[in-house]
Order: sequence, then structure tokens, then C-alpha cells
Amino acid sequence: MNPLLISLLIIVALSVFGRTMFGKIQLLKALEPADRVNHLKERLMNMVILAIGQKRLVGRAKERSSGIMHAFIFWGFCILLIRSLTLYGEGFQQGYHLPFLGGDYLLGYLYVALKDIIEAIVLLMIIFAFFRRAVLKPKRMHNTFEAYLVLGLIGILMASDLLYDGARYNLIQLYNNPGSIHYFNNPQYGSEFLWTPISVAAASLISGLGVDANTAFLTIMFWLHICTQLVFLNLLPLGKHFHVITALPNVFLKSLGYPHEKPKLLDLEDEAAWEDESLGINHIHQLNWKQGLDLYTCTECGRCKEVCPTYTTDKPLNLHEFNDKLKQELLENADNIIKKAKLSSTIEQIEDSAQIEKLKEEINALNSKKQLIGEVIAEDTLWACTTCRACEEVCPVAIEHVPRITAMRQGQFLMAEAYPKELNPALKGLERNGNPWGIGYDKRADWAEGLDIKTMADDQNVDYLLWVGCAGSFDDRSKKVTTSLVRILQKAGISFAILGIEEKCTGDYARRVGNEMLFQMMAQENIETLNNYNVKKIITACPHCLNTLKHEYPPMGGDYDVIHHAEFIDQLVQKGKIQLKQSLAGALTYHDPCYLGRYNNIFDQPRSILRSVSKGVLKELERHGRESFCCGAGGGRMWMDETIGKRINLERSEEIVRRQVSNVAVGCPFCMTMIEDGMKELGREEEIKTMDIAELVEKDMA
Amino acid sequence: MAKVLVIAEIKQGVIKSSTTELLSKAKAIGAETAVVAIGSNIESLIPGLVSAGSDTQYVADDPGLELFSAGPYASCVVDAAKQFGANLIWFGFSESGKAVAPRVAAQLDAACATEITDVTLHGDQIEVTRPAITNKVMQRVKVNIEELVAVVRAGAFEATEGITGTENVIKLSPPAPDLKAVIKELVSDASGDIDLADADIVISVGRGAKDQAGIDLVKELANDLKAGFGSSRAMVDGGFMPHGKQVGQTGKIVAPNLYMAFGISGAIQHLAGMNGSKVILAVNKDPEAPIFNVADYGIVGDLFEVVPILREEIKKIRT
Amino acid sequence: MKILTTVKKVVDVELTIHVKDGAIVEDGLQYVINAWDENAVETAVQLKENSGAETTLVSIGGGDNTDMIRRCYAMGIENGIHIEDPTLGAADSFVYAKVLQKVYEKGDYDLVITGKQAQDTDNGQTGIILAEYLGLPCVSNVIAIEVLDDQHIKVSRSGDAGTEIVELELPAVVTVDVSINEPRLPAMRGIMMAKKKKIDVMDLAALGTSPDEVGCATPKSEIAEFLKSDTRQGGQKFEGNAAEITAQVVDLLANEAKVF
Repeated sequence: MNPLLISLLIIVALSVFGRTMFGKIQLLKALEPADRVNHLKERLMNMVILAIGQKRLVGRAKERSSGIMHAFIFWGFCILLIRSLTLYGEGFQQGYHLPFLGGDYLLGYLYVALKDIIEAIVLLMIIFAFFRRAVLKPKRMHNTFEAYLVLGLIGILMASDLLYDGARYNLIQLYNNPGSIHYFNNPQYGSEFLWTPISVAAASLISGLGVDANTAFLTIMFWLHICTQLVFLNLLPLGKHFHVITALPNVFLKSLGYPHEKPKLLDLEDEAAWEDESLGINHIHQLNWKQGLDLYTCTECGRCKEVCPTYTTDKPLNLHEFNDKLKQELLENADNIIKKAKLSSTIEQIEDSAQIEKLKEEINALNSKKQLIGEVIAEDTLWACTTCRACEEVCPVAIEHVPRITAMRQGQFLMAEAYPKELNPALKGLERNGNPWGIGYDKRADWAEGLDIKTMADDQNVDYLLWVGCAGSFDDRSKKVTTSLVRILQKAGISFAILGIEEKCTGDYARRVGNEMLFQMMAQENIETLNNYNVKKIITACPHCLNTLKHEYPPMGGDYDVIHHAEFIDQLVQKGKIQLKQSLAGALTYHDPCYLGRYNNIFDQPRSILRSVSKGVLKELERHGRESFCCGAGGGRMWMDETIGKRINLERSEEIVRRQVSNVAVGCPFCMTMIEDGMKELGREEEIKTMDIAELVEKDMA
Repeated sequence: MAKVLVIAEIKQGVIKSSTTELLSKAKAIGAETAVVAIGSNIESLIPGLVSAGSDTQYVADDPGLELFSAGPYASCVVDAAKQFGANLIWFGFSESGKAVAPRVAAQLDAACATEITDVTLHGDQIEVTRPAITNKVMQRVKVNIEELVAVVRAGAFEATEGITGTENVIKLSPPAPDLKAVIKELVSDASGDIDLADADIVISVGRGAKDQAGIDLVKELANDLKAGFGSSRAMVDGGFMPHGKQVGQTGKIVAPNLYMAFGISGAIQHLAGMNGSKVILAVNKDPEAPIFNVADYGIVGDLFEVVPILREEIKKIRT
Repeated sequence: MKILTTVKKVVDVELTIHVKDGAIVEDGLQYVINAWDENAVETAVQLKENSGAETTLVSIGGGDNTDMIRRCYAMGIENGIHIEDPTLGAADSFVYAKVLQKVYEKGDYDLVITGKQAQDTDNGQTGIILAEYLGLPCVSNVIAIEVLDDQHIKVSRSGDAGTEIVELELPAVVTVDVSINEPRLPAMRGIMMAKKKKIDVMDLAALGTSPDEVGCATPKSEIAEFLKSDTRQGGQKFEGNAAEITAQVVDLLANEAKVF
């Protein structure tokens, strides 16, 4: 078309874009390090399935229609990239085509056909998108100018290309191609336009306007398309559509979860860290680059809010707003952070200690003094989280919300010394007597009286250690579960022992609320005890204990094979070591505990067991499996009062009541407490029995 | 012969039963008895002091003694003790008693024992029994000198039926006021809500009370007894009771003489808040409720039925 | 203002205490800061934060109190004195008070804050006796404290007739009840810093006194033996006709438990 003009446009657009991107990347590089470039094959798989495959959009039953809508827009985008390249080429040379995609190849024809359909589909999807936003107005979305603008721009891109090709068709077929426009016309495959019915249809819209009008359309649509695209490109990094560029890398670099990634073990002995307040996250410059990338990538879709147990019960934890506020703060401090990184890198080369000191001072001055909690994010927001990870489960771009919240809690606890003081009794109890109620440690094994159970001190040559946990040892309701489990193990002839009074709380909730010091103390003590007895395999009835022992103790020197009682009982049933009579009557449902399901991928074994004990039907709750709804006790919330909004356990209990069952099975002492309490409050505790899997199995054992 | 000086416990113009109980015990161990009464306008109480079992009455009656102040009260007791030649000086279990006893002991260079449950004399050797380690064990204590000041546990001694005394009133000169510890104000308990932490009797409601009607029902009983009114977490969570009333691990820790739990199951968190109570009464429909594992007296029943009966019975007892 | 606060290491009362042959079974026991003294420490630290007071703690006996004292440092106490002497084994409240008197006289304190009682002895005497020995005004069972000026504080005391508001002239002694405040968790940073802080450990001689002077050898009373106490067990549970059993229970409450 016009090589000079197109060169100019490309150069200007790409320079601006390049500059913006450079700044964005520089900012990320200047943030704290994160170890994510590893396990490349697995990461590639994630990217293919989640990002390219759009699994969390298309693969999710809820809102599948909007998922498909977006998937087509995205796939369309990818496919049309090739088209775009051709168009740019056309700017330089008439009839430009990419290798193997020209008129001599079937591939070329196939591509133009594909392009044709895709553009139509994308246009339809865009119209659907507009309709959803403006008319259907789903609650999770919030409408901004940017949202509509982008939809508009994409619409323009599709329409302009179709009309461009439409004009081409008209000029070639109707007006005898006065400008000698190039088109595919291979005798084997026919005219290009036989393969592009949509463009032909678009052509018919303007065919009656005459040759001059069509020539004008040709030129205008061409440049409109190019310019729109180049403007769009430059708009991307400025808002939520940055995800167009960053989503694939973000998914590629996402956390691989356990066992590949463990929570960062803070070195509390590091005095320098105490000095510059770098334990946990208190200030924006303490984010690592992956967290920065997360902030760039948030699409503000709001799916996280929809599944968040706190948000849906009116607490002030609005995750996408959380992301947005942090992003704004990050961008505001971008210059300082980048400067700081530059200065820090020069320190290595300097020998003179006085100069180093001066540099350190300068660096310190560049650090953001703003407290994230309090000045950017409200306290209630931070502490409302139950760490259930439902948000991470549904986020289409794999943002890691929960580790960031935990790190900010660490910052609050360790550095700012600001945390909900109502946690004090639970923390003091933990410190002193190894359990959140502060009950004398000497009573931890009282539940075992009369049950004929060995302790490790009596005989450490057993196959399994039964890790009872604090609730299982002290809470009256949970003690019944422990007893049931013991009876099952004894019936199956399993060789096991308990630690008895040597067992201490794993420290799970201490870590979740940010008290890393207490957590490490509990861990060290437990690991010493466990290693002393040469423990290899552990069975536990509590998913929080499971999670901590299995994934958080290894970095501290404790490596054990930890198995949840649901897994273990399932194995026993499969191997025939216990027989079940399937005698439980009435409809039954199962509440997936967050730390068993989402955290540790155990969904099937409990269900398999329940089907074996129940002669009634096993119904699923609306929010089940990977999208199970939290009971509200995680993240240390068990030890705090819920004063804002509706209580989470009530919300879940109501859901269970709606399911019309006689029994609800759980696999976690926290869930047990919360759901049973919920049932009592709704006055349904007689009709709907809350039972642990172990209790149901014990009752049903032959 | 032992000489016991009992400090009369006077509250709102009434001589409390501890006075008679302590004097009864004194007579039971064969001691000479005297009582010291401190306050303002207490002349009219003298007959009561006599019939409580005292053979001498030391009276410190002065407007400056209307409000309790440890210093001047201690001076009166020391004065009486010296005049009487007492070797045993006993206080009833009250905040005043606990505040004054050590002062008296220090001034008289006597031994001091808090919350004794028994006292025996082997010749001149005084022996007392008292609790220790937050009431988890008892100790038998031998006093190595001749004088002992003691605060006696509530209800430890029994009042003798038909005990009598002799009128022998000795007026004590008013003590100097404590100029360095000036009592400015007394914020009385009588009006408003009774503080859970200080109340003698605390009554709490749990989920068994169901709703406001149930709470109001139990509150009547609390009013009857002028008891502190508390709640388990369930009722606070349910919005029926304010958080300040929550007895439990994340609420208030109380250790009253009598704790009554209505419709409370007895979860660990709640027990942590009231386990130190002297006496626990629990009323619950569920015979398996854990609260019965710590309650001294348990009534398995519906609180809606039991509470009115309780009120009746208690009214009968107190008249 | 200079504050002296007392801190006693006592047995953890969450544990079950066993008595055998007239003595406490030591095996398995752990020792912690006396709960009331923790409140005293918190009171002192709050006064430091609000009124700029200087705080010192003193601990008597207990063996190695390093952990306990460091924890108090982490809460905010600035100085620590530990008096340890083999002759203090059977010390009673009077002996403790005498030793505290010596400590007090060595410094220049305006306010002494002790816990109301110790959870091992259940006595509640030491602070008050100390005030007598020092000739200082004293208020016990304090539930609120306010600094009026350099020479005066105002305290609220939980008394029999209600809350007594008392104005004290400094120097003075107060003993505090648990309801005065919620002791903070030691600051994490404080715990790190506390590891480096020194504790002033002295025996009676270094304190400038002797066992005779404080009365170690001749305690006014001694514990002859320990006896089992009834542990909190379920007592009597009544089922049946509501009117009957309720009447029964009220009778027991009045005549057996004597709470009415």
C-alpha cells in the first residue's frame, strides 16, 4: 500500500510499545527474586492446558458460555496473528504472503477460509460480550470504560478486516479489478473468494456503493485495521488487558504447588533481615517479580470474588480490588524500585566500606515507607482470608493470591507487630502447652485411656505413627473421631503407635497467621521427636496436620510419608482388610475440606468410602470437589471471632440443608466443628447428622 | 488459752454469716472470742455482734471509716488485737480481708495464711490447712510462732446453732486516715450490670436458651441473685448477647463462688473461661453434655422448666 | 518515673499436679511466669509507653530464670535483676518481702507493681507486706491505673462494695489483678534483641544482705505436707422430675456447697 507510511507507523508504534514494555520488565527485574525457571516440561504443559486450552474457562461448568466466548476470542486472536503479519506485509508489497500460505498452496486457501470463519465468530463473540456486560450484567464483573473500549477495538479489528476483504471482493469480482489487486486464483482450488463466504457477505453490504466508494473502503479499512491494531497494542500494558501479553508467561511461571514449591522458610536468625524489615511483606518493594507479574495479569474478571467464602459473606476481602490496589502502589513506586535495583547491583563492585554505607543509605531512602496494611489495604481485608484457595482454583490466569496474603501476614506479625489480638490465647497456649486451648500438655493422651494403644515411647517398632492432632486429642467431639479411627486400625490389624504427650501442635495456624517464629519452634520440636523415633509413615485424621507434616516439615528436616485417614481407610477397604456392610440409610453428602481437597488433591477416596458405607444415594453439594466451599475455620480464623457479615459456616450449612440429606460427612476436625455448629444454629442437628468418615466406617464395619 | 479476734464482715449494714461461722469455730477450738467491727454508724450492730458469738466487741465507729481503706482498717485491727492479746486473728474471705490481713501480720510480726480451710491447735502449735497451686492441692502448714493472721475460705467453718456471746463493748479511738492513699470515689455495684470478673455468682446462658425469651428467663434468676450475667460463644455469635458477656477462652475468664450454666454444652473454649469457679451448677437437656464432667451439680432437664423452679427454691432458701 | 515490677517463676497450673507421700511430684512439671506478674509486667510496659517510665523487673529464686526474664524483656522491660541464693529454698512471703525491700532500697523507684498473688502459693501477701516494710502506701487488687503527675497516680481497685477509686502519692506499691490488662505476646523483634540483653544476677551477699537479715533460716511458717485436692470432676448429676431434682440441688447448693 504505502511502504513509507506503514514503516513509519510500525516504527512509532513499536518504539512506544518497546519503551513501555521495557519499563514493565525492568520493574519486575528490580523486584525480589523468585525461583520459577525450573521443571520446564511441566510448566509447558500447564501453559498448554490452562492458557492455550483455556481450561478454567471452557472446562468449568459454571458460566461455560462466557468461557467459550472468551476462548474463541483468544484462539481467534492467535489464529489471526498470521493474518496480521500478512497485512503488514501488504503495506510494503502488494499481494504479500507468508511462506506456504500463498495462493499456490492448499494451506493458503485453508488459512483464508479459517480466517474468514474466525473473524465472524470473534465478531459474534464480541457482540455477545457487549450484551453480557451491558444487559445481563453478571455480578462478578464491574464495568469500566476500558472494558468497553477494548471490546470496541476488537470489534473494529474484525469488522475492518472483513470489510477490507469485502471491498477487495467487490473491486475484483464486480468492478473488474481496476487496481489489479492480487488475490488467490489457483486453477486447482479456484478463486479465493469461494473459500471466504463471510467476506463475500460483508462485500454485499457495500457492493452497491460503486467503485470509488469501494476503493475508498479498501484503503480506509486497511489503515483503520493497522492503526487500530497498533493503538490496541500500546493500550494493552496500561490496564487489565495487559493479560493479553502476560497471561501466557504468568501461567508458565505459575506455582507448581507441592511438592515442587514450599512456602518460603524465613531465616529468623538473620539480623540484617530484621534491620531492613524484609521478613514477610510490609512494603510494596518487598514483592517478588512473580507477584509483580501476578498484579500485571489480573484481568479483573471477578471469578475469585464469586468463590471466595469471605467475599460472598460480605467481608471486605475483595480480591481483584486487592490486586488492583497493590498494582497501583507498585506502579507509583516503579521509579524508586528500579533505581534501588540499579544501586544495589553496583554495591558488589565497591570496596570502600564508607561508600557502601552511603549507598545503603541511599537505597534505604528509596524504599517505600508506606505500610501496605493500613495505608493501602485495610487490616480487616488481610485477616478475613481463610486461605482456602478457591480463588486460585478458578483464576483463569493462575494468580497466586494466598501465598501473598500469608507473606503479608508474616510482615504484620513479625515486623509491624500488628495482628488481631484475639489470637493471643491460642498463640500463648501453643507456646506453652503445645495446643491452642492451652490445656496442660500432660493431658494430651487422656483420650487414649482404655483403648489399649501403644506410645512410641513404649515401642517404636511399629509401621505407622498415628498423628492425633490437637482437636483429636482435646476436643470432645473430635475425640470420638480419633477413637473411631483407632478402632478401625485395630480391627484391620495395623501396627501403629501414638506420640502421646510428646506430640505437639504442628503449628499450622501459627504459620497461617504469620507467626513464623512460633511455627518454626513447634516444627523443630516435633521433628526432633519424630526423628528420634525414626518415624517413617504417619496417618492423620486432620488435613491441616496432613498438609503441614507432609509439605512444610521437609524444608526443616522432617521427611515423612504422610497419609490422610480417608486415603488409608480406602486402601484398607480396597485390600479387603475391613469389610463394610453398606448399612447407612438416608441420603448422604460430603463436604470437601479445603486442606484435603484443593491443597492435597484428595477427592475420590472419601467418596469411594462413602459409597461403600451408604445404601442411600451420595449427593454432591452445589459447591463440591475442587470448588468446595470453605467451612470458615482455615487461616487461623478458627481462633478468631467472625464479626463482619454473615458467618461462613452458616452459609455452608444452609447449602447442606438445601441438599436434603440425613448425613453430611466430613474429613476434618475444623469442618466438623463449624458445620455441626451451623446445624445447631439452624436447629437441624437432629435431622442432619454431621459425621466424620472414620465414624461412619466404624459403625459400618462388619 | 487461745484468743481469737474475728473481724466482723459487714456489708451494706448487715453482719455477714462468716462472722458467726468464724466465731463458732473459735469457740469450738476452745478459744476466748472477740470481734472487731469497723465502720460508720454501726452502734446498732452491737447486739448482732454479741449474738454472733463474741465475748468482747471492739468497735471502731467513725465517719472516716465509712469507706474501706486498708491502712486505717488495719490500724483498728492491730489496736484491737493488741488490746485483746489475740494470738489468732481471723478475717472472712473478702477483698477487704485479703487487703488488710497481710498488713496486720506485718505490723504484729505474726504469720499470715490466706484462705484457710481448717485450723487446729496442738498445745501452742498452730496448724492450718489451705489450698495452693491455684486450688489444685491442699497444704498443711505449721506455724512456727505464736501469732497467726488468717483469711478464712468462704463456708469453711460452720456456724454453731444457738451460739451466744457476752456484751462487752470497747470503743476504739479512730485511726489516722491514710493521707497517701486517698479514696476518691466508690463506684457501687448496685446499679447497672455486674462485672463478670468480680461477681460472686455468675450465671451464663448457652444455645439451649434458644433466643431472647430464653435469655430473659434466665436473666430473671440472675437478677434475683444479683449475679453477673454471661454467655457462651454461641449466643454471642447468634447476636443475642454482647461480646463483653462472653465467658470463655476468647472472652472473659471468671472464677466466682458459684457458676451456673444454662443450656451450655461445655466446649473446651467455654470451660477454659469458668473452670476455676468454686462450685459449678449445670442445666442441660443432653445427659452427655461435656459440662457435666466438670459440674459439681448437674440437672439434666429443660432450662425452661428448671429455671422457674430454681427461682422459687432459691427464694425459699434465702428467706 | 522508675518502676520496679516483680516476676515469679511458678509451676504451670494447666498441668495436673500429683501429690505423693505428702510432696508434689516434680516429674513432668513445667514452669512459667506467674500469670498475675505477667499482668504486672504489661502494666509497667504500658506505663513506659504512655508516660515514659523506666522499667526494671526483679525475680527471686527459681533457678535459671533466663527464658522467663528474656520474655519480659521482649515485652518491653528494660532492666532485670535476679536474686538467687541457696538459702531461699523455703522462703515465705515475709522473706520475699524482705529481699524485695533490699532490692528496692538499692535503687530509686517510684512505683512497685506486683501481681496480686502467685499461682503456686495462692497467698496474695508479698506485695502488701513489702509496702508495710517500706512504709509506702499500697493498694491491692488494682484493675486500672492512671498517672496523674510525677508524684501521684490514680488507681481503681476491685473492692467488696464496688470499684474504689484511690489516689496514691508516690512512691507507692500496687498489686494488680488479671483484669487490668491483656499481657501482650512478646514482640518477635523483641525476642531477638532480648537474647543479647544482660540480667543482673545476685546472691544475697551481692545484694548487700544475708540469710539471717531476711529471715531465711527462721520462716514464720512452713509447709508440713501437701495433700491431694479434689480435682474438678463431674459431681452429682440428677435426672428425673424437674421439680424434685431442682429442689434437691438447691438444697445441696445451700447446705453442702454453701454458696447461698
